[in-house]
Amino acid sequence: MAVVEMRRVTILGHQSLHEAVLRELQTLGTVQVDDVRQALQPEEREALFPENGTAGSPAEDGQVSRDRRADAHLDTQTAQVQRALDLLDRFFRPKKGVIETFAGIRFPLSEKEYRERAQATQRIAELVARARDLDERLTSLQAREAELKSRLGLLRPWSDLDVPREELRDTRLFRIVTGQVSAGASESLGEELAAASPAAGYEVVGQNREALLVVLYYPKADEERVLSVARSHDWTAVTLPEFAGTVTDEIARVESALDEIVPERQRLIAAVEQLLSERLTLYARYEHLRNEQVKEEAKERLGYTERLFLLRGWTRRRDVARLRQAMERLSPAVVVEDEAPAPGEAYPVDLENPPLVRPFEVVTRVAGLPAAGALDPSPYLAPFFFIFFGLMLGDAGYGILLMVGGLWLVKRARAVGLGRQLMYLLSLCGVSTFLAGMLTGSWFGNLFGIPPLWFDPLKNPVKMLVLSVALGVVQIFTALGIKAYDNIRKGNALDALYDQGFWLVFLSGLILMLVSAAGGGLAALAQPARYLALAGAVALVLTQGRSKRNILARLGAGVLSLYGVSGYLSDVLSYSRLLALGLSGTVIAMVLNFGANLIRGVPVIGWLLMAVILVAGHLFDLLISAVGAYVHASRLQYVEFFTKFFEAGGKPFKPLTEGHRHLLIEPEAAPSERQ
Amino acid sequence: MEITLGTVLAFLGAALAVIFPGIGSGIGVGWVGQAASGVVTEDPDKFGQTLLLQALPGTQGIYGFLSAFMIMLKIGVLGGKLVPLPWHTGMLFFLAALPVAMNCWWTAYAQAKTSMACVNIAAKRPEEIGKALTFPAMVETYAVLSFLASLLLIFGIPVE
Repeated sequence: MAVVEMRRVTILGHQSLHEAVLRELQTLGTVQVDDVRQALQPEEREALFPENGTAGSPAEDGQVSRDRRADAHLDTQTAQVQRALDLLDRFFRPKKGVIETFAGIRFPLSEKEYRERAQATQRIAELVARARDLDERLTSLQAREAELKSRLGLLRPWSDLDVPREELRDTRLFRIVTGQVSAGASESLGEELAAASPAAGYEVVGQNREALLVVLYYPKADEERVLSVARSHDWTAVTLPEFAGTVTDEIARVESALDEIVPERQRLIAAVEQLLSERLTLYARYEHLRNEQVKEEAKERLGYTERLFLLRGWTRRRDVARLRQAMERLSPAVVVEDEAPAPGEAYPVDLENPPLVRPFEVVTRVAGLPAAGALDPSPYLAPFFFIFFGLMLGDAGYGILLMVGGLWLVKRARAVGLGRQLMYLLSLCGVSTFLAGMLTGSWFGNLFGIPPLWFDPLKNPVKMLVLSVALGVVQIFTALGIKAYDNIRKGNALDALYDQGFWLVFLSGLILMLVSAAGGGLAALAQPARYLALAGAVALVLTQGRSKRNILARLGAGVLSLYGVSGYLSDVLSYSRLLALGLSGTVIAMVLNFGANLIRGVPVIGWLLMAVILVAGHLFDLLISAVGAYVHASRLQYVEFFTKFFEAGGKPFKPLTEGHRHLLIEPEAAPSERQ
Repeated sequence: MEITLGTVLAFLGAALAVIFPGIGSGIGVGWVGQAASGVVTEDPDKFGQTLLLQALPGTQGIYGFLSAFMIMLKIGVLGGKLVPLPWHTGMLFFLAALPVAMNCWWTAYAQAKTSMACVNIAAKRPEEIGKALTFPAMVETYAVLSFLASLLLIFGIPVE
């Protein structure tokens, strides 16, 4: 339980074996490989790598520089496969249901098939080449389409020009040009042109939004004068592209060329579709290459002497034996050492808990891992999170939906790691939601009118408020207890007594005073409660300033520490959210049922409408209330519970392993061990 | 039937409890949606996470509506038998609606801004989504408290 015990491992071997060792470690997936430069003590570094004091810089002509070249090759290969996959994704995005939109999509593949597919280099080379070819052809097709479209846009306004393009050329004496003038030019342009050059003229061919399209002809000798007239009407020359025949002919040609583009693209996309059956092969190759890259990066973290390599890292204590076996099998020339972390050394943190607690690690991990050597809060927060979530969602119907839905999601979404644990967490919390719903008589709100087993918070909110606050007191006392245990564990028994014990006495006294004042046959407790609180207060005043030297300062700090009560008060009141969120979900459900009941009166389709409203509405309420319950149940842990004892700052344990983003590899040897 | 000043005041309270938190949540959810759509443009897979963030400032509007609903239930709007309230009882309903009307209005803005900032977390470090959900939840506390206060106040008003 709790934080896993770690062992520091040192692996030493001949340089030629580093590849094989890392490959084996990656398969085992239990060893975190640290950067030797940071993992060694300065004197160790000096002794091992005396030349320059830095490890990891082996001779350039050795094994390692060959690896570097292989590394660059890996990058190129990965990029090529990635490009092929991108092409597939562009036209055929993997179909996603609602679940996959949230959880991401993974394709199951057996271990054996994964290896086979990833190693089918011949086929993959063909696939990659084919994909690249298709990609290029699609790109050039796109460019051609853009070009044709812009040509069409240029020609369309000129479609009434019935002179063949060949004839629109300067003669010996005349110049013939195409262009546009401002729309209002037509009236005066003719006269002005005639005045400038009697032989000049123009023909209006078409019109676009703000301009007239004209063919202008004039004697070359009068060019200056004609153009200055034209320019006064916003003349802009338009050079038509070269083609044969009339503009209409050319438009027809361009259009038919455009028409061919669509089927051509469809042919290409159909060709892409044929690659689709090999998508898993490409994924397999891609992930294989990524894992190779991870391994290559791990090599950079090793230390090298002329002939040896040195690996430093961490492994779980229970994995040491298997690590040793694997290395012995590999070669007698590999040495494995393991030792306990030095006192105070920050070893990487991994959590381990019994199956029922494991889902609650999600809550801890969100806050950050506990520091090396600190307590894992997961088992302590588990019962509280369970109860709080249940109370805040508090509906038997929703509880059943969560239980079933969560388990179904685990199967359906094929999520691994944290996502999977989150779904288990949801279904577990479904149980407490169901129980809370039974106790408070909420089955999809008041849909069925089932009476509560205990009491209805809507009718008796104060009772629920007291229950919420009482739960808060329990959790805060638990937190103080955990801190005390932690102090004792670390050999600070006196701190546990002063900082937690006295506070517990003081707070218990205060609470008993409140309870006895509230009546209910507990009035007899009032006197002892007062003494208890007083004793606690005096003890706190005497001990809380113990770090100060001056006796007055010590007492002053002690008195000031009593102000901490306000902190505890606000912490406890914060638990009133259990009531508020519980009510909010219930009231939403009530509103829904009320509305659905009203609409039932609609003739013919009334029942149908009611069913739609009930299903959609309750799903909405479940979603929004479950998010609220999750977020607030977490918050109560982080802000009210953790602050009393939790030491954050653990670095996660990241073993060298084979990762998979798109595939879900199913091991064949031991299907029962699937996690 | 007779409409009393008390009934008018109770209606006013219910109306305010819907109006202000509704405005706050509507605008807030809109803001976060804008920020989220930028992220989803780059990476459509972030839809689920950013949708959660967008939903967070939406709860205020719900709290406001629920408070109004409880008032309606109390004064008999929903049963079809409107209770003629004396003016001071109506005033109590009006006052009871104020915490949720005001707090949920402004906390929706504040929470929306926090959520928008947390959309960045979803964009750049999607594995830290749990933390991104926690920051807006800190703001939510005060909306929840005001809702709780309004609800308890409404429950406590005696109606003939």
